[in-house]
Amino acid sequence: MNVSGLLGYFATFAIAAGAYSIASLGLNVQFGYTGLYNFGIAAFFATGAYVEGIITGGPSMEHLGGFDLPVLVGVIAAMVVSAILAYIIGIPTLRLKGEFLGISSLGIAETIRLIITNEKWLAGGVWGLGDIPRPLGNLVGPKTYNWVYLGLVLAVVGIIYFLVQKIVKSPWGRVLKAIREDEGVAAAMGKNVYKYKMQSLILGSVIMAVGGAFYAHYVGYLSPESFRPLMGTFIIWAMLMAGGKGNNKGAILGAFVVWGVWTFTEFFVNYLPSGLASRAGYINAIFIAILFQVLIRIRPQGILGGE
Amino acid sequence: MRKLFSASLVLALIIGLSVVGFSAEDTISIGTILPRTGALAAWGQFEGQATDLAAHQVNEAGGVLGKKLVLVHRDTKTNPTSGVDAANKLVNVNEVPVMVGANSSGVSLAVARAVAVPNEVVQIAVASTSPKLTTLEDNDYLFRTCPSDALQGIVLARLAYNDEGYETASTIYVNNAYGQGLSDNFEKAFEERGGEVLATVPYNKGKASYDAEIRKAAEGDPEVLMLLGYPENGNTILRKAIGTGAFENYMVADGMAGIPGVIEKVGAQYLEGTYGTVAQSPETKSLEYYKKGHEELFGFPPQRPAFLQNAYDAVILAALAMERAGEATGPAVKENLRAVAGPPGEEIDTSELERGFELIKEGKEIDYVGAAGQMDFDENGDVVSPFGILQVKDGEWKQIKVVD
Repeated sequence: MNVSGLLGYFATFAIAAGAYSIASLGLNVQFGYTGLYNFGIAAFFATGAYVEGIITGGPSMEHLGGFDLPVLVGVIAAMVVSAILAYIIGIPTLRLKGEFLGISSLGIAETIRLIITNEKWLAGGVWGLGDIPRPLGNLVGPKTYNWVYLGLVLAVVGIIYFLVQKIVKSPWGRVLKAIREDEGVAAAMGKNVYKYKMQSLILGSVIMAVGGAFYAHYVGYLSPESFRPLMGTFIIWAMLMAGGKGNNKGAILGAFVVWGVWTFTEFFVNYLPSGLASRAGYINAIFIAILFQVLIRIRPQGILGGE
Repeated sequence: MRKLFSASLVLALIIGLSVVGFSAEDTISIGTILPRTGALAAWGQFEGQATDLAAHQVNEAGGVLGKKLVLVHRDTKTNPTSGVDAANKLVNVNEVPVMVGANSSGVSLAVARAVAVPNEVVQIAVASTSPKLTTLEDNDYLFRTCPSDALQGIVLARLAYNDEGYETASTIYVNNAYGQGLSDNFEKAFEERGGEVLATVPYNKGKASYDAEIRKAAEGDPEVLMLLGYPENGNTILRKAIGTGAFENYMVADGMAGIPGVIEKVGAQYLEGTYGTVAQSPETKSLEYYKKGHEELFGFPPQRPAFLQNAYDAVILAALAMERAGEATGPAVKENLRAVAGPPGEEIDTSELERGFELIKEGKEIDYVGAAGQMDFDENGDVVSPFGILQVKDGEWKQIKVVD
């Protein structure tokens, strides 16, 4: 039995889940509180990751950057770039309602992914963007390091959770909830719905980009493949829905639960009879689907439910 | 809520037990990180079997350091995030000294950067042909048993310029690491020789029409069109390009060369004389033994022409390196991998594994000859493999020569 190894793996698991939970909090601002269907999370997640990689990465001849700057600079740059991107995307799309916004944002995320794929000078194109350092990596050994980085990620999750809680409880947050419940009523109260939606989109996208930035250090190497809709967008939707939309604790819990189901089920398939072993991957996928189904049946409102 | 709590407690208990599982002292584990599901599942399944076969043969030859070699398989789901997670499981929970995989270059590079290098675990990629793997800062923990695309680009350039005497060429390539790597390296090698590349045009998969790409590649009337892609859309492009009559000659790379459907779908009469290149497994004794062993163990022959034997070789090389090192740790394997893979020493193929282990125990040097080639790692952890030149003759792919 190998408890320290299990704990060591748990640290890396929690780093990934932490990065995802940041993105999930961002989606919660947009969908959970404002009712914006953003199916383009991958665009902002990727923007955050790539900006972080370009700013903090070592020098490269093949793409823009790396500027070898501190992590904090990278995160701030990721926030700024994603805010600008969200603003540009918001102008045409926020005039759309519900599912229409969803479809167009999905298209925009794919556009961003294809731009990253094709513009080699920008981010290495299909070659990917390598050489992303491990923040504070020189201080401790690799196994201990995961705990240090986990601490950093969880601190950021905590800060963002605290800020988002403050924001949604403020008068501004109440306007968002009013828009979610009934746009017409909010407009009748004299609120500029479009402006509030734009602010919510930008805030959520900036948070997603922070998640992407910390994801970049987790994988150490970025390629456009990481930001396909499944792993870049829909898994984060699953996290928020599982945890409970409109509930920030739920957004974080959902990220850990979904990523846990996604990863820990793989340990079971080791115990399959050898005849089935070659199909283990598919059996694992079915297992994940069944667990989600069960969750949706038992708790359609998410584990913690909404507010 | 209480029901939910107790349910999750039970779940946690089951997970805990199944993660811990058995751990016997008399086994040595190697991990595999292969795409069992996702876009490359069609390869990962069979590569996994090839690694099983390798472990089986190592154990028949007496195992490693007197212990049984056990493989722990993990699924990359063909994406970097899950690949890094799978590798983290192997390194932390299973404490493997060596990981075999991944398949695609993007996953291999992420695993190397995020897991293998910082944790000092040797990673042997099996089908990642991107030239990026050569240049990655990896503290020498990343190896691969397949040749870099850089090589094939040079082979294509030599074929086009030196053998066929073309002075102008254009490329249409699939827009991923494979296609771009080939096109870039072909361009470089072709121009170094004195030729001129008029246009390099990427194409994206699954488009309805490729007329624009073909028109762009045809500008300036190149003597030859290099189509560097996969049959999926490559067939359409080839057929269309022939229809326009803009090009006299065509060449393809290993994505399409040697694949029978290409000729049928495009039309044999139009492709007559067209050249193609493929990474060639030389007919080593190991290859025969691998094919025979595959048939015996699974009841059917290897299901893919390439990369399966690369996975097979990776496992055996890792086992030999551990034996020579005298211990199963990443740094020790890294120090010994080149010694068992390349000269000097007696050449050992997979049918003589037992003898190979004996020689190592006696303190003698060996030189492993794999099922996918000589397997001599260079200073970047790359291997060189010969390429076969194919030509369409009478509606079939015929191999005309093998070049190094």
